[in-house]
Amino acid sequence: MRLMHISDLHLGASLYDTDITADIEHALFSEILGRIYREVSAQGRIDGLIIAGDVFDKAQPPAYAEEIYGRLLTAAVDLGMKVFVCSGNHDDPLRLAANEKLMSRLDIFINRPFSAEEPLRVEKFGDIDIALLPNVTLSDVNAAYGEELLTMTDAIKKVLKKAGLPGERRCLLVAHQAVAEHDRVIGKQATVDADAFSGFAYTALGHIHTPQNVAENVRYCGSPVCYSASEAKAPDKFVDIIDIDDKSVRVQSVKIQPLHEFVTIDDALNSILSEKYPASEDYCYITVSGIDGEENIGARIRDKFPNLVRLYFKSDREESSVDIAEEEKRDFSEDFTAFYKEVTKEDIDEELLANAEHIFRLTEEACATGSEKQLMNEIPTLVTSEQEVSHDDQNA
Amino acid sequence: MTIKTLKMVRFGPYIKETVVDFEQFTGKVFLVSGDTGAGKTTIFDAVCYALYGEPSGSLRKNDTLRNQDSVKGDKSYVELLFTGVDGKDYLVHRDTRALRAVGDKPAAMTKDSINLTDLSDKTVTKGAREVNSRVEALTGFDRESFIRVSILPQGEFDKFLNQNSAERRETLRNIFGTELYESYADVVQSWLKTAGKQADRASDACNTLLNCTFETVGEKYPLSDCDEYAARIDELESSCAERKNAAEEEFNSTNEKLRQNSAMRSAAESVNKALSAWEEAKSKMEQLDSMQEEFDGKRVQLKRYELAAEAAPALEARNKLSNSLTGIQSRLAAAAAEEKQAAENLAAAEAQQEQANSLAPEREQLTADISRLDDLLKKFSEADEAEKKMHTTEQEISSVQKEMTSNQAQQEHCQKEQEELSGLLEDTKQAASRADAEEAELNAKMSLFKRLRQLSEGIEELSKLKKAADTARTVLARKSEAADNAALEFSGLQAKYYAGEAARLAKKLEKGAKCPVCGSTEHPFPAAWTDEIPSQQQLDKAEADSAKAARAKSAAERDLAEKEGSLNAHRTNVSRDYLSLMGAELPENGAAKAVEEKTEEVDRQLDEASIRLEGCRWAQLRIESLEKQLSAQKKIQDSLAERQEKLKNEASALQSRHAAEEATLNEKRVGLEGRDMDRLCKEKVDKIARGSEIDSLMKSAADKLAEATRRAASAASLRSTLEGDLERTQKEFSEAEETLGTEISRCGFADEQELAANNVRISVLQSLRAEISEHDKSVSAAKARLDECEQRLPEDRTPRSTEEFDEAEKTLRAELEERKQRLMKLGTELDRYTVAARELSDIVSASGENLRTYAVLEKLERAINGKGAERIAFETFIQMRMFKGVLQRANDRLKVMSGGRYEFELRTQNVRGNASEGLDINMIDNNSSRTRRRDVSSLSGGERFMASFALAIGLSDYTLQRGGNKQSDMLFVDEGFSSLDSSTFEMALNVIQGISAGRRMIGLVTHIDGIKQYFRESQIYVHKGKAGEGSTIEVKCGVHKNK
Repeated sequence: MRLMHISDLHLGASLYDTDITADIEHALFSEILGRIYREVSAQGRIDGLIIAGDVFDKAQPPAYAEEIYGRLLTAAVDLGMKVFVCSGNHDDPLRLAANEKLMSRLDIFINRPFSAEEPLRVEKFGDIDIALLPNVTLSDVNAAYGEELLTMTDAIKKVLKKAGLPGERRCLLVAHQAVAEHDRVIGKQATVDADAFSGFAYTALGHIHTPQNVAENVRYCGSPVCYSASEAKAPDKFVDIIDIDDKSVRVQSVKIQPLHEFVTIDDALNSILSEKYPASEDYCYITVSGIDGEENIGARIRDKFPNLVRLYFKSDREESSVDIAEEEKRDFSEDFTAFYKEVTKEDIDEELLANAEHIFRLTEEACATGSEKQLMNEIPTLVTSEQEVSHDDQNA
Repeated sequence: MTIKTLKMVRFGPYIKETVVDFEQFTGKVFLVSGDTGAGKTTIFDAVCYALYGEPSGSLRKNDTLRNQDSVKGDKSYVELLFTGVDGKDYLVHRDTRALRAVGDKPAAMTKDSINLTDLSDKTVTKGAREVNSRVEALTGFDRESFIRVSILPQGEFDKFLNQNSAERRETLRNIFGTELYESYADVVQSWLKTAGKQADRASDACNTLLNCTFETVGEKYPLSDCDEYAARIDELESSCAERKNAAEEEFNSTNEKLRQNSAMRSAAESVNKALSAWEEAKSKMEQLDSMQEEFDGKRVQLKRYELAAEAAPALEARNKLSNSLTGIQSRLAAAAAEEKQAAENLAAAEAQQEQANSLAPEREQLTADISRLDDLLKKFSEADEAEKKMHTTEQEISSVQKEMTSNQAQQEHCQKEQEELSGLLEDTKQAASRADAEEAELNAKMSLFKRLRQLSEGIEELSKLKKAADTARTVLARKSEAADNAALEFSGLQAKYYAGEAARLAKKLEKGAKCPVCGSTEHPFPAAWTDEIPSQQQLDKAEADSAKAARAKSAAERDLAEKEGSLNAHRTNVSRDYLSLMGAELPENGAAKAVEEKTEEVDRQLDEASIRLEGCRWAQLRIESLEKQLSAQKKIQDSLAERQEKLKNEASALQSRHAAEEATLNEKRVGLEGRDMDRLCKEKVDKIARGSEIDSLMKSAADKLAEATRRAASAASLRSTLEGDLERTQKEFSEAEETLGTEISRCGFADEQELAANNVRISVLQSLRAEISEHDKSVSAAKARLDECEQRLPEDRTPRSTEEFDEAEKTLRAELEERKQRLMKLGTELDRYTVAARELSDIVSASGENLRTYAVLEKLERAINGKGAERIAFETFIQMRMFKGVLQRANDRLKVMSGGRYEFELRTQNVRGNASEGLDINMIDNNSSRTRRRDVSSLSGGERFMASFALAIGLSDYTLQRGGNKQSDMLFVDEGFSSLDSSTFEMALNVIQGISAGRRMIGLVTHIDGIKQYFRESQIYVHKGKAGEGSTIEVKCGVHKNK
């Protein structure tokens, strides 16, 4: 059986203020269900389409996003494919599965929201089963089974055990989780250990936008379009074609030609505006430095790169950083000398400094004992330089 | 300072006790979400109220914090458990004010309603003022600073951003702890004032002094001219001294004269005195001589008294002895009488004794009877006991029997239950076993359903094909019609053509040529050319048309055949399927409907089957529990049977015991028939009484006898003693008489009476003696005096007069007084000048010192209080440095959120003239020229939130890094995110998620739904209750432990 594997469509997302609806439509309809479908199905019919989560960008997506999704499903069904969708962390699983019974009549299978009785959905697909696992968090699993598990790996293992998978039939799992070779923490989420999926013929994952293999037969196909600056640094996007029969699994990745290229530039303003970078309509993430004294930087750059996605300014002035720990160690006479210089533009004379310090010490003592008022009402007594010396001796 | 747990009761919209555990969010960012009015901000209000007595924003007042549905007397309070800066845990409890109607006075808060407990040693602080000050010490912040550092309140997040320098100075004072510098400035200022006052005082003092010294009023004497004044004073002083010396001399001379005068006067006086003394001594001597005779008589009297005193003891002794003699005699008489009496008693007692002894045998008999009766009684009591034991046993037997019957009943009941349960179990097992069958059936139905669906599709397809076939048929009909028409046309034309051939030929016919047809050369009737005759082209065309139409027809035929073929094929398939599924031949019409109906039916059956399957599965689960119940029942049954056995054994044991006791009882009863226990008892009692009566009689008799004997003996001995005494005393008496007589004669008294009369008391004797000796002394003294005075007398024994001396003295004294006054006046004047000179020099020196101090303080004060060229106070300077650190931290965040576009900068140039500066903030917009700064008031709402947010985090970061006791481990952001567009919002979210965890917890309040998906693992959702119910909270917290 042959399947197409895509994920992380994030329909309804926009890159900062740039509208990328045209790009995602191009990627889905012209490329994936268009050119690539034709080329690949020429060598063998494609029986199914897997969408591994994050169909929408928000729990309540805008109307046009739903419309694109509807069109995508219709196109897939018209091409004679069965569609398998699992819900991701950005989707509202209940909303996504609102019409799942109806869609089952058209061979579109979506998992229902996660619950203890029905943790995932299994459908027959030729000789194999396809299991659709919704995106779960640790507290979801703990709440459902009344347990107190501590790692995501344990949680996933528990869910799979409760569902009785992997069973006797050969099974392909579709899931939307953060999976790594070993237990790690990426960003703020704990990952699932890849060997939790060891009994499956293949695990088609979604969630990470960069295509990558995690372990043998456990793979992310990546998003069809670049959605962040970090992705723009490695902007090639692929769709996976999975050939699976009762003995073996083979995966090939086919590149998607994007409507717009993604470029990251990090340079000085002058170079950016020079011929070093030709003007283009690519989507750019630009970090600009050398901006001292320049005006209207954003508008000028946007002139040359009309599809500027995001502009980062790198300031080149030297920050006189204040070291907090150092600050604490400065003592009064240093402080006061600096202050006096700043305020009167003159150097302070010895006697004045000595008296300032003498009064400060008295104030310090008085504040410590709570007798400031008394000190204020005392007769002022000043010190001369000689006296100050003895005062120091006293202190030392 | 870290907050741990919050408890609210009837606070805001929370009616029931609501506990928020903040500890689980340590090091995390969490979300507080919920509908409007649910109570999100209330949580932070509660924290603030618990600590400082006021809510977080300025919108809500203290009076309105209590739940609005509470009645008087309901408990309404908040409690907060937190860790203070000393690392110890504290619990602060604060009640809310009672709601009051309009016109009521505000309810007083009792001391108990606000308290703070130190959990390590359980000490409790009560009362609002004490608790508030303690909390400020423990948290390191007062309310303003706490809010500034830890909370961005709703609608007020930009308060800090919008403040001017002076306000910000106040706010930062507490947070940065620069109160010391404020006090410093105050001290310098007040010292300056004091120094100024001192200078004024000095010049006032100088004025007063000099006015007084020079005897002027209201003149001003400026300090600068002090030298001149000093000189003047000196002059005055010296002239005064001269005058004073002169006056002193005069005074002295007068004094001398006076002295001489008085010397002479006293000499005259002493002469007079000596004369008068002599006169006096003489008269005294005469007086004493006159008393001589009297005193002689007294001397004689004294002598007689003394003698009497010597003789007195003998008289006394004799009197004493005569008294004792009479006493003894009387006693002797009494003793004799006593003896007689005692003898009589003795006789009587002996008679009684004999009587008593006669009763002894009776007594013995009684003792024996009593012991016999005792034995009988003992036997009776033993019999009673045995009977009692037997009764007890009987009771036990009956109770055991009762238990046995009840046990029996229980056993039967248990048996019934068991049967019931096993029946039920059977049923359930049956049901369970059907599960698999049901499942199979369900699956079969499922596949049937699918096939039915396919069939209906097929039928649809079939009808489509039929339609197509029909269409093809009609097409064919049309086409064949057309073909026929065309052929007909063609043949018609052809006929015409051939018919016209003749005409054609005819046209070609020339006269005389041979007709190709008949060969004749004459053409009488050449065929006429008509228009109807088609041309070759027309014919060809018609042929072509016909051929085309025929082709079309055959194509249509072919098409039809094909369609029919596929239709038939399809129909065969479909009818085959139909037959197998519906069990009937495929009807012409209504097949689809039938299939649809069947499909519906199957669908219904599917539902039913799945329900049944559910039931079977459920039955399977039940089996286990039923089996458990059954085995439990069996166990109960077994135990009951065991018990029954035990009871039986017990019963038989008791029976045998009963029999044994009965036997014992009968044994004991032997020998007791016919006796009445009561009667026996009474007998015993009587006998005992009589016995004791006899005993007492015997005893009293013996006692009386002993007593009487004793009495007689003592009486006899007493009498003999007294006789002895009498003899002896008489002898002594006579001796004493003799002695007395001797004494009387020795002392020269006539008889005893005279002696007694002269025997006076010692005191009288002594006073007389003293009087006499004193008189003698005064006589000798007077004599001596007289001699002395005679010696002192001068030659001339006339008295002198002192009149003239008195006169002279009076005048001289007056003169002296006058001179003395003058001298004193001059003296004070001199002093005044001296003192004035000294004071003036003091004032001058002090004021010199003062002026110097004043100058120094003035310079200092100007600098410290920001009156220099740059209007920055010292405290502000220190704060500026710290604030720079804050802005640096804030910039780190702001840069991320704005992509490096915006930065904070501390304004260092003076813009406004009067106010103090130093803490104003500039925004640098990197997009425009960096030399032009934007003021924060020019930012949009969303940008302002972004800036405030970055600033708040910067402040929190700074205080945390600085350490000490001014740090807060939490930051709460109350709304504000709705003013951000989606991309800025994502940036803000990145910032929030990127804030270093450590111990800090960050809480966000928002009603925006889109945020929730980022916080599924750490969220407090506040459910708004319906009217009358309070709000409740639901906490979702992942259990990721920090690694």
